Amino acid sequence: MEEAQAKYDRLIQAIATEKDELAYKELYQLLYPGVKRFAISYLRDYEQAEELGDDVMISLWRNKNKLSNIRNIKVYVLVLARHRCLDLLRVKKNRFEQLEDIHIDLQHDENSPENIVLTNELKAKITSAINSLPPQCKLVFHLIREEQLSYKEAAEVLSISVKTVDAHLVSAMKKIGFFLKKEYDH
Amino acid sequence: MDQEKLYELLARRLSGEATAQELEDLNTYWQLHPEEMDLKQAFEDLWKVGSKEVTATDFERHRLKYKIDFEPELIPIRPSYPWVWYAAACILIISFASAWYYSSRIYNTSVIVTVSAEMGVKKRITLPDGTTVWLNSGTNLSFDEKMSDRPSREVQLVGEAFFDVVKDKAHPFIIHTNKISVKVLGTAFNVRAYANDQRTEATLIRGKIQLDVNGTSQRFILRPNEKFALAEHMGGQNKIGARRVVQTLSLQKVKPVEIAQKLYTEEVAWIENDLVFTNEPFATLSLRLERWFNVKIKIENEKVKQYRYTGKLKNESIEEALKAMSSVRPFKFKKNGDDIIIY
Repeated sequence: MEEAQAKYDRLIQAIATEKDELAYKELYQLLYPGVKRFAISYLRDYEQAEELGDDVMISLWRNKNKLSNIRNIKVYVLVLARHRCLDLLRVKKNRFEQLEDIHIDLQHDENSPENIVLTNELKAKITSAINSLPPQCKLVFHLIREEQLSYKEAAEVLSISVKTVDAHLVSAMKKIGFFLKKEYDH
Repeated sequence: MDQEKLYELLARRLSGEATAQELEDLNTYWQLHPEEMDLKQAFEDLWKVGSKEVTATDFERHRLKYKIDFEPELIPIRPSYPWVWYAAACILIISFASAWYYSSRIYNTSVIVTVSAEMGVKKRITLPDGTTVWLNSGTNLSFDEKMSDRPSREVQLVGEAFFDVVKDKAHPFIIHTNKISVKVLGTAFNVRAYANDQRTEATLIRGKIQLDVNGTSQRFILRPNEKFALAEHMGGQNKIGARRVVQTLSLQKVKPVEIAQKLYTEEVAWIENDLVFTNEPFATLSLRLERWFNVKIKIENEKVKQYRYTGKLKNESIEEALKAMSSVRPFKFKKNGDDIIIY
């Protein structure tokens, strides 16, 4: 974790002081996929999410000299992405129930021989189980599992408390556990 | 341990948030409940996210989309494939005292005429062979009065000039500058070769020119609307510890720039009395302003040197120009006679 943070610090430093385009490229490749995935959960529109991801990233490049003020760049871009998603959904629907439509995709390493007990069929079941959870709960699950954020970081991104993150994650685990148990009990 | 607690600890363990005590509690639990090991394994499998693919093309697409936010790229010239450029040529010329020596040696019986356009002045002249030349501020052009009677028509240039050369296949028109020599059959093109610029440029508008880099065997032929540039910078130290000058050659397409709904070609706009600049750093733009307005500009603020400007000046005074520029990106200036300090 600290190693990753040191890397981000180094890249930001190079971008802020030397306008280093290669450093920006590296930062882009580290952050853009996650921003896009997060945006897809909200927007459920691949192209729109790509556009939004690009938008968020170029704002970093355009504000190079202010970059060093950012404490946690990974959280920062996700917060930006979340606000923009909510704005977009607000415009789209002109109401505040946009969160109902959150949908997350579980990514798996399809070729991993290490997946001992999870079959693809079971993975599909788990995905639909998770998607039946409340929106915030899904987002917490996505940020922690997919983007490997800490509880604290996830809390910051969604502007909720660490306690709430903990509780949401327990709900998600319970739901998944329920499906798994049903699978193994017969 | 109840189910609620179990899932709480399991979630913390998987996301790396569990304390040592919590991990120990979990292990104890599983030792007591071996029948739940499948569940544990399933959750661990679920948490294997897999390699996240980063495609290199994503960034290329991104960079292209926001091209304007990144530095302009020069197309490198490959001198090993000179025939690639054999369709046309563009020329740029810089000349120093050596050019004088060269010309006087060849034409020792002829009268060499030098026409100068002083700082802040532009001139249009017609050469003995009928060729029209526009001289930009701070430029010297020398030629033989009887150039039309010679096997080739040769001139020396220090500064910037636009040539509209009269066609005469039997008598090639050659422009010598310090760094390059340009051979022309009949064409219109611009050459920028000031003694105090690290960059020498030649822009071809129509026709065909052949360009030789002085002191090397590198030869280029330019197509219409192509710009050749030679830039010099100090390279690393060689074996005996001396720094050497490195020349970078490049060839670009000339793209008109749109300013206030009008299209300008930066390289030749000065003939129409327009000073056009496109995404140009203040550091080099200031040299052009010095010549255009016949002033001395000193930039004392490093940050301001990096400012890039796109725009057009026509009848503005230097004060008006600087005022407009400082309203785009902030800086202060003071003028004392012809000396201007920017800070």
